[in-house]
Amino acid sequence: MTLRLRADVSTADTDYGTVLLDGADGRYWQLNASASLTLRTLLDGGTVDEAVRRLTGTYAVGPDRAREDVERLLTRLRDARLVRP
Amino acid sequence: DSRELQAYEAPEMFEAGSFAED
Repeated sequence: MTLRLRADVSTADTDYGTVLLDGADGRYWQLNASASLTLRTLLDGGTVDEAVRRLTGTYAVGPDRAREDVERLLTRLRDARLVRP
Repeated sequence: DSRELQAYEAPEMFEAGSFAED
């Protein structure tokens, strides 16, 4: 299932990663480069496995650690109600 | 296959501020 941002969340790329603006409550969130790569992969329809492959293909990180980190980021995005359930 | 991997920083997301406050 493709990850989707909530309708009132907009994104902006920066030199450091991505900023998410929650138009509903005015909060904005900064994602670093690896979080941006992960989010972009998932929003483009990629699976968690694909996000892990992108991380391990770009950064010096093993697949187990990368998977933990992808899952943790997904939890953070859901807890912040930035993505659709 | 000799592409250098970048140093890894775990994916991080933090609240950077409030549009309302700013």
